[in-house]
Amino acid sequence: MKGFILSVTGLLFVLTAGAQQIKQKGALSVSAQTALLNGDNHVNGQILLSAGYEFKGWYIGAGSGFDYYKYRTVPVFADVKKYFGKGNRQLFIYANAGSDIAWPTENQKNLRNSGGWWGWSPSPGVFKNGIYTDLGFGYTLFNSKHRGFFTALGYSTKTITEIYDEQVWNGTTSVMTKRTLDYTMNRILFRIGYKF
Amino acid sequence: MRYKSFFQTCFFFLAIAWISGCTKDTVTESYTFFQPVYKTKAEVKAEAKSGPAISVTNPGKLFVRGNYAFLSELDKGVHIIDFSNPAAPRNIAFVNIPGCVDLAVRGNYLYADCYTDLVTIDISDPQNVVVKQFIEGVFPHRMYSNGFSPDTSKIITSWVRIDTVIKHRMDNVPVFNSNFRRDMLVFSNFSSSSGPSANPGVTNGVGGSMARFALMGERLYTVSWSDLKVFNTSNAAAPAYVKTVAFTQGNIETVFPYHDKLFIGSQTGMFIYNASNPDNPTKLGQFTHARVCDPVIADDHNAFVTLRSNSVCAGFLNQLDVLDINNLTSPSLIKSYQLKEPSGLSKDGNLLLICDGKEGLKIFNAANVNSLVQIKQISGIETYDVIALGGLAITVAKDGLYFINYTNPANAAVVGKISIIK
Repeated sequence: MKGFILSVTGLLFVLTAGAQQIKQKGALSVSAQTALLNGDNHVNGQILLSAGYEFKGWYIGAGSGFDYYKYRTVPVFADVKKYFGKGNRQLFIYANAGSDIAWPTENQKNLRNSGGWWGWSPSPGVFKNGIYTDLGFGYTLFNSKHRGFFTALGYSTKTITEIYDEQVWNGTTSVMTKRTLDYTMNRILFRIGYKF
Repeated sequence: MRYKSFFQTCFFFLAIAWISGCTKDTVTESYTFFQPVYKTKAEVKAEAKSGPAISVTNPGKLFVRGNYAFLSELDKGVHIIDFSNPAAPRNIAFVNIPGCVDLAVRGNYLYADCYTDLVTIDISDPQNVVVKQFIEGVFPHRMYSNGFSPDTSKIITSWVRIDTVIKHRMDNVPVFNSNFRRDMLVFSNFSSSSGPSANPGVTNGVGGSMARFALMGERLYTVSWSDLKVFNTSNAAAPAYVKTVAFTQGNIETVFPYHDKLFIGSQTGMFIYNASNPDNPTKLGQFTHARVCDPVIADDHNAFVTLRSNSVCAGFLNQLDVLDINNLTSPSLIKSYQLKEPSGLSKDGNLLLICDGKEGLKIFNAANVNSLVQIKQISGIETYDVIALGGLAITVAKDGLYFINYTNPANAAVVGKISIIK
């Protein structure tokens, strides 16, 4: 997991450097962004970095980051934006879709281990990756070099799966079975970022 | 202006989504539980009868009388095994008794638990047993924990596996602290041993050390989690409930009768009860130890207690404790012997036979309890309980019921087996 995150970070770093060099041509673009995720009686944050190619009002790229809503995950996604208007102030819509890599904290893996029954305690949950989607619109304030801040409002869904062993009584004895929990988390997000 | 309208529309839909609850988090749970299948008591009574032998799949307690071994099939009934030729034991019949865990045999009568009831069955003809009596509701402790409340007007005869999927709203902060889930049911099994019969015409069988039923003279004693019940079996065909003696603590596991004393094993100690007045057993003494599983047997001078740690009893000890019981009011530890995972045990003269889990059956010379000497270890079987019958040991193991000839203890060997077929 750490290797993956380092790889993504390195890739984005290279793209960022590239963007610095050719931003005048308006080809490569990088955006660092943070979001407030407001969902089902729960609020948490998200940090993302996205890099890609911008052409004729369109932006196509890829991004990754950290999503702390309920379960810590690492979304890795394709990022598409469409800008409207000209000049330094532009509206845009965007769509992100990709994989949601489960990276739960130790605490999140052991939520059921709060006291075993005479020494018995369930095994930590095993998590599987899910999907990540994010749709929304935003507004940018560019300077003359097409750099600038932006804000966005969106609707995001992430899914992950948790599987753990549990003992159930079969009428004669306790037998081990598996319980699978497919989580679907829906959030309204408010995002701010800087594009360069 | 065109764009402005578009974005106003987007904002409007997001606001609607938020307000209308599109941000509700959900979890789809896929899990398995077992659901009880009920029958009326009349239906169960009608079904308590013998049939052709069936394979042993989930063995429970063992009782022996004459050349017959009675092995409970947990919650299903009792296998009748003819071992008149130990080298070729024969599974000859199966008595269907729903909810059966423990049993005892006196004369031609089999006593067994049928969930909350005590059933008496005439086994004179193992192929055609006859139900003689039901004493209803004498084992009310056999109730389910964790909120499950069975329909007490009926009897659970089987459990059906159900794989299910449900979708519900996810908790704000996901917390699953309960190790007992609502569909995870645990109940206190109760389940034999025996002393000599006072009625010379009726012979009591012999039970294993893991038993919860014990016959002594004309009484049947049963232990549950926290009490001892007394039944008068002077009329073997129609035992009568006498009384319940409450223990001062729970965690009771086994009962072993010796002369007019009852040795009761609990997870935290051994208790000695005086049953010289058979209808009114009274506590004489106790020996406490760390929390572990704990069957006990005794002879004139010593009690032998195996302490086993596992997921049920917890603990950290795996040993044999030899106790001095010359003073029954104050038993004391003589010596502890380290073992791997000891459970059932049995004694035949100076020979002590101990089931040591995956280590198999161990035979010790116990002539000097200060220095037990292992004579023989029969490996390759995972043993649970044993009854020593003067040269023939019947051992319940994970993969079968073994018949072991220990006439010459140093050369003890398996001579026959009834396999468990899963």
